Amino acid sequence: MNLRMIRMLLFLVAFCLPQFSWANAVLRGKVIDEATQQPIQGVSVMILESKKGTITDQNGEYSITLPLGDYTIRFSAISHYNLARNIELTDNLTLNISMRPLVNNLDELQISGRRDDANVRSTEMSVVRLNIAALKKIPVVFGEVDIIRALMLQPGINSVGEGAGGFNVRGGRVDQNLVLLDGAPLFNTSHLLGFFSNLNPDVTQDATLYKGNIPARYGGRLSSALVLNSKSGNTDRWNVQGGVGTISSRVVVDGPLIGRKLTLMAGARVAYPGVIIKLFPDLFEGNKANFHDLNAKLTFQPNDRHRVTLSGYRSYDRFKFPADTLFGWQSGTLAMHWNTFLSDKLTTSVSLLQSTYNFQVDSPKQFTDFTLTSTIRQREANAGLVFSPTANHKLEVGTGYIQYRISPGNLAPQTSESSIRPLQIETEYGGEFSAHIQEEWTINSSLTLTAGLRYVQFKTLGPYTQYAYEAGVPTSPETVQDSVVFGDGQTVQTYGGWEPRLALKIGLGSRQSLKLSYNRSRQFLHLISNTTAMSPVDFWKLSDPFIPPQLSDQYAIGIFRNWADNSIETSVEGYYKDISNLVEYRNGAELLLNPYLETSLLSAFGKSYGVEFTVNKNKGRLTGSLNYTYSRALISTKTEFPGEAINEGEWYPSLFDRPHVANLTGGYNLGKGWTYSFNFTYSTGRPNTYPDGQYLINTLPVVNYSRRNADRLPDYHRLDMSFSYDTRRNREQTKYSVWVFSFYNFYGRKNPYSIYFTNYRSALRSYQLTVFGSIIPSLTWNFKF
Amino acid sequence: MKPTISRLLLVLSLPLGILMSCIEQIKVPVRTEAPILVVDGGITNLPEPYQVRITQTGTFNLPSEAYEKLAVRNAQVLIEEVESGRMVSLFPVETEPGLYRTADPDFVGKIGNSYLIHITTQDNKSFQSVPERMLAAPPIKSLTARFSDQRAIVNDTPFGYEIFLETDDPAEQENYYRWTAFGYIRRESAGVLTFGGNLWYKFCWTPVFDNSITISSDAFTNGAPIREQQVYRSPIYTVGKHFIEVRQHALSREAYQYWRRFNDQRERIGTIFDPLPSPIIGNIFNAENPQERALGYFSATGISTKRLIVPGDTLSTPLLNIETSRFIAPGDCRRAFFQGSEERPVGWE
Repeated sequence: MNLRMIRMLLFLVAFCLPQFSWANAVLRGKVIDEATQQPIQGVSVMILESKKGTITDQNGEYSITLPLGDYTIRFSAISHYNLARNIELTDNLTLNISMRPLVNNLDELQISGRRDDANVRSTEMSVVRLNIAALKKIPVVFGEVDIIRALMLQPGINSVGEGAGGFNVRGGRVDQNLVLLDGAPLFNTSHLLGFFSNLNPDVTQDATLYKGNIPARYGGRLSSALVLNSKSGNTDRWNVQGGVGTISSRVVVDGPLIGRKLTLMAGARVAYPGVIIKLFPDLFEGNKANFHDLNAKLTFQPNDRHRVTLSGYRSYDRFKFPADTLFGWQSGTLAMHWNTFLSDKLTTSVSLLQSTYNFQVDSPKQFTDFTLTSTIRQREANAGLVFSPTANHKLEVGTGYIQYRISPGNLAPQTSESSIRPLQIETEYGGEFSAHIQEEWTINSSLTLTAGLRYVQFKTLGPYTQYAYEAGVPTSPETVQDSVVFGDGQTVQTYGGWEPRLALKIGLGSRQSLKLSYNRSRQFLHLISNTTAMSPVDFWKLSDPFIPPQLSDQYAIGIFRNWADNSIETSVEGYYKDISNLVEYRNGAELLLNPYLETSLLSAFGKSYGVEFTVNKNKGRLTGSLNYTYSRALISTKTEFPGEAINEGEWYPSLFDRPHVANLTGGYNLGKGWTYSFNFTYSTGRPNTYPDGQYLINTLPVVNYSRRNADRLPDYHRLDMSFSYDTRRNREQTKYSVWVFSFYNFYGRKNPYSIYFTNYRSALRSYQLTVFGSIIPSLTWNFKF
Repeated sequence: MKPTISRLLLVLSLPLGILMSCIEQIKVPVRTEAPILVVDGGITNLPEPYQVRITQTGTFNLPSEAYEKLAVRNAQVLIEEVESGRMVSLFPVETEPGLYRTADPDFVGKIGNSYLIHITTQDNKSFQSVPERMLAAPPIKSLTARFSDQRAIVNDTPFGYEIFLETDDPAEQENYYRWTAFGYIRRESAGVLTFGGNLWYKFCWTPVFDNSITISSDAFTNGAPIREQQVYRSPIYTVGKHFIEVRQHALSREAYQYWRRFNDQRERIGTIFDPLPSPIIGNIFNAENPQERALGYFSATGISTKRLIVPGDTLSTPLLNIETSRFIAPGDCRRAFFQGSEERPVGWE
């Protein structure tokens, strides 16, 4: 970049701020992506001379107060080329920057938090940002790049097993993650029952996971917020990129539709696991499986002040047994965002969102043929503004309303011959109002406070039938004594309250800081599932008079320190979480199509705590990250009738309680376009329930499981590696291919997926099921032209 | 629903893992907990001795040794009829440890009455069941048999008659069903060569039964006829007649839920979509401390029965004769097979 270009990017602010000091001035501006012209969040802005720094917000904006003088300012982001600018600060100055996306920064490969000293400087803690560009080179199973699997290499994130859908954050359940795609929540993140995630990495611009210290603008889930933004179309030229792999192929097209004002991005991913099924006709004759997902985004930017985006997403899965049951499940979102940049201090945003999830089961069996469907729909409207009067203050205010509609189960015969009677479980309605305010206040060079407060009110709305149960005995369908019917739109139950979100950074010198945070969240929507992993026929349930909202308080403390010119980042974070009103299930609970669902549920308390150690090396030919987590996640059921309690009401480990987890990921630049990468992961086996006695009923041997989760599977560990070859020889090359040869489970460890017990010729035997029990090589070709 | 999802995953995991997924037998250390009392039995409206099996949890390798090992001996067992207050004792059966049986031929369960069991063990602990009202079972409308050849499934005999039941479900109440069946089939052995040069004891009748738990609820089909309900599979070892008796039990809702949980727990196939392992709690509790639950169930069920005689001559015998020749046992048929008898079972035809 030459000076002329720099000057083009600079212009002086016409309006001056009231200044507190003659000697100080404010430097502010906006950072956008050169290709997509979209703002970039999380760019580290560093003043080299004073070692001061800041980070761009979700609108790509930053501001910093400096004494007048000459400075070199360095902008760095994980997914873009770093740049530096020299300025002469004589008055308040706006410096807008456009950064070039990292197409092939051979020095950088791995996922990490933000670049440079951002992890020391900001109040942010418990945050993971994925470098989507680098994901393609990490070794993966069947060559399928997977955002959720990449997250699981980060501290505090795990799952119940290989191939299980969803993920668990700091001892939270899968339904406690708010997964937002362009602002709209996804109710299911799995393809093929959880073997793959349904998030297409090629269309994803950025992925940020908040494990704690969740910003006040996000609510409704206890454990985390995974915020994914899809790419906008390129304003200058049309691009086609994609990839061909063993299980699926992807293609993304993007470019300008009308000048630079209207752009389109459209992506599709189609899987063909059927090809593999066909290789084994004897085993899987007649079985059919397929999935696909589609993304599209229109971006309209008539001028510098307004930006409107319209995006849509759909994922589709189907699985069929020969002449038997057909399962299908679909997710979809629609999102409209309108952002207005009123001045460099004030931006507003308005959004309208819709999310749906539904599943169907079709059984053609003669005389009992049926179709079972279940759907959830959420519609949401939000408005907010961000006001930054001075460099030391940033104020965010917003409000929103969510309308829920859930049809938990609808059973219908397919033909008139069927004995199945139509049954529809009452549709649930709910409304959630929220408002939030958050202030980020830089008190002085070492103290920064982010104080957020969210108010939320949830209403269960009619039509609703509330059953009254006999007092003094455990509730059951037999103890229904009366029922009250609520009419359309009538308020059945109101829940809600304040949710403080606080974070404080205390700088301890220029290279280290101490951070503290406190976070309260409520959750009004619960996933009803009595299996170890999330399954496609799990359904959602709103809070009602019997099911109060889940409530969580999280306290976290962390020490962050960078070494060797920020090339090595280290951190230690500890957290403690207190959860109440978790939904648990009575032994042998009947969930699906149960009109008295509350009689199958129990309320439980949860607590989880842990400490996470992280070391990242971000520069040099060898980059990588090492983390270790010690954590526990425990549950205790509290019931009115002690006989109903699980494990007598004592604390017992949850299914994803894995005390020791260590991950090592790395990449080494071999030169000439070749990169070697590896992952190693180790974790304590997940809790399991082994039998503690056998008996006979009707001459059938039965095993007794009296203590839930009292045993554990053997430890899990795995090494993956990959070699990738990039045909690019320089940064300007626009047409290129990347070949990835990857080896999943390199040393063929037979990690147990489950251990189960069965009677073989009436003797009890235990078996271990391993899913990916040997080395899995794969080859993927990614292209861009 | 849940086992189907599990199966779905299992089928799916195989193609995905190609031959990388695997199931291996392993040895798992089993924790030992204090033994828990297990009660298995009930009363019906049929005039026959009622029996209850009382055991406790433990470990065993073969079910044949289990009853001997786990039997609870010298317990006092009584069945109480709530309406009349009548208490009837059950006496231990000498040859079968842990089995207790009524001896009063006048004591027959009555539809509409409620029954419970009282058990006092040797160490003076008292257990009882939640009283259960005996419901009337609707009559079985018809039974049909269909020849089936399951050569694809590993089994001792691939041939059998699938027995299907049809019945009319009463619309005015919730109904829960359980079906049990037993039968007599022909078996063939090499026979015994007599002095006259004849082969004797070459064919005999042998009783067969199936101990799987077949249950159904009318929750989703109330009032609609139950059709094509598979209730039993009568195995074919040699071509011949099959005598089959099917019993239709009217279960209480609690009993139905018990057996449903029982089947759920037994149908685990190892995927993470299986229902979570849990103890199967029935209706037996400690009389002094109701929080202490025993395992098993004491039921009171109304029964309707229907018999079916399958002629057996409808099959294309030459092929079947060849295929079933491997089931011909050596020696005397009466000794080669369990309770083998030359006499046609009493009461049939």
